[in-house]
Amino acid sequence: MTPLASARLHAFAYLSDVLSPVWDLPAFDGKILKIDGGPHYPDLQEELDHLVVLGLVEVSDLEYVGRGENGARLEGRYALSFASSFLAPLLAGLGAGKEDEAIDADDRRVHHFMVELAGALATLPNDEIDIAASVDVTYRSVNSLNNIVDFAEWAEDTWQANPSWQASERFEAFLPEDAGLSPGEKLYLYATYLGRVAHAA
Amino acid sequence: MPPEPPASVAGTDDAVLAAVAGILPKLPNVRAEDPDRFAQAARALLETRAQAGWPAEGEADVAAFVMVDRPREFAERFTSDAIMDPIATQEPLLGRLLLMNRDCSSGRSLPLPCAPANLLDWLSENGLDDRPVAVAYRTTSTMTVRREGVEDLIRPHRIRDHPPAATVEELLDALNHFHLTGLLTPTCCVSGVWEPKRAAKYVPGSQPERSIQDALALSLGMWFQGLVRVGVEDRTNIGRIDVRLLKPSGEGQLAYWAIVELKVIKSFANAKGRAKAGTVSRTVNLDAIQKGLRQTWAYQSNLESEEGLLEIFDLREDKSEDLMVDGDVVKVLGELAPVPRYTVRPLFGSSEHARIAGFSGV
Repeated sequence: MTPLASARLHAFAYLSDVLSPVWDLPAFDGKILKIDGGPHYPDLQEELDHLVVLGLVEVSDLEYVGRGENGARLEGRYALSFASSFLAPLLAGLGAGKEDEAIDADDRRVHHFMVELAGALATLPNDEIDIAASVDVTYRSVNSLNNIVDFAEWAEDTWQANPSWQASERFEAFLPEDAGLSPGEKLYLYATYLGRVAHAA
Repeated sequence: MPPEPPASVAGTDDAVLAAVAGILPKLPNVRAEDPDRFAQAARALLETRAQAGWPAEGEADVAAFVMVDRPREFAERFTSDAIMDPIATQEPLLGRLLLMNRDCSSGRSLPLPCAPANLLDWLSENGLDDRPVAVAYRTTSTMTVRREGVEDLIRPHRIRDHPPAATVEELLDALNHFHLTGLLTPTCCVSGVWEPKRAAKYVPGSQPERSIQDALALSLGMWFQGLVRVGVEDRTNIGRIDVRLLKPSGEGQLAYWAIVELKVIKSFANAKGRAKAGTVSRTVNLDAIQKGLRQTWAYQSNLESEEGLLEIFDLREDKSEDLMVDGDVVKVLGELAPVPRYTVRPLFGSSEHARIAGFSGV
């Protein structure tokens, strides 16, 4: 999947937030503004730009992309810069290395979740990945105020506010009695579901 | 945690969700640890190629797969090409070293950098000695796996030139294969079945059934990759099923195909270190067998599973008595209809004992 186009990176950030309860993790950002071109997080983009400046992330294919009434965005393709000697210890400290290298043990859980979700989405063809976030059940739900979809920010009932989570749990209803799904299986099935909806769109 | 599984989800179509749930057997084995998941994916890839007659391959015989976390990291270190979705392409594998992710779905490919016999040394010299390695040999249709890296014990797997079928005959073959390659002697036996360094004295580990269960599920998952979904120990309202296998029914939805119940009979209880191991009575072993038979029958009946199998692993030092002909066991067998298929499989505390018992090649 890497180098990863900006739009995909932001879409991945959104999907990881909306599906975080499947892994029993809190959402980093429990809301999303629906705009042309799919999910976009200005804060995330700024952090990413910092990482580029620090030499930890490399960017290629930079270009301006029009976004209708929302002006334009600078887009590019991002990838970890393995040339940086700081990268490996940083990743390890963030839970992407060996078990005893993580600064916070919880970060390893987050890392496992992210890797599993990325793996699940990577099973989709490119054209389906590109619109996976925009066909997500929560993203296209009608329960938005001023185009803001709130699934875990101010919502009192995060279960009700997050139909993506509900859909990922709903798969168990189609298994025989007493058979269950692991969180990883739910992610793969939900990614497949997004692919089917995207394909039909 | 979700409050309750939802009755329906607004904005979704149950028919689509149900169809998606039916692809579960085709997913990567996400329940397995990464090295096992990698080995299963590598074997599935190799068998796909073998069953297609190894298309687009040259004269080379060997392919080496090494699991790495971030394949792109090696793009500049070794002159290599990106490889993606090899299961859906004819990108050559033989004669190549493939640095792949845990699902063997993407990575880097380069010509084998040395003679196959020197591969492990090369991996060590290049800091890849602790990575899971799978080496495939076309001529012998074999894949060897070193789960923990180059120093680990090798486990061979056959690269089948025909796809597996979900039949009871093949299930019995798979169970037999697991017994012979994963349990028979301490050399090949999965860890946890025997207390460390006490196998020769027939002292079992603390939870031998659990150790066998996990390894068996993995082995069956690898055998029936893409056809059957293998899971372990679901809690049901009648207890816990040890291993259950689901396959698509006529309507495309998954249904129970087989449940496999495991029981261990033994001479001694677990004892740590040099502690004296207490003996396990004949009565306790007979009770375990009777309980296993009843559970297997109940699970098969209640879950409407096509097959119910009881695997009895005999860890006894003296295996001369056939407990299946004991009067109480025979009585239970007479009460159950259909009678569950059962097999008693011996496990030996040494290779010599296995040879004496008539198992060749150990």
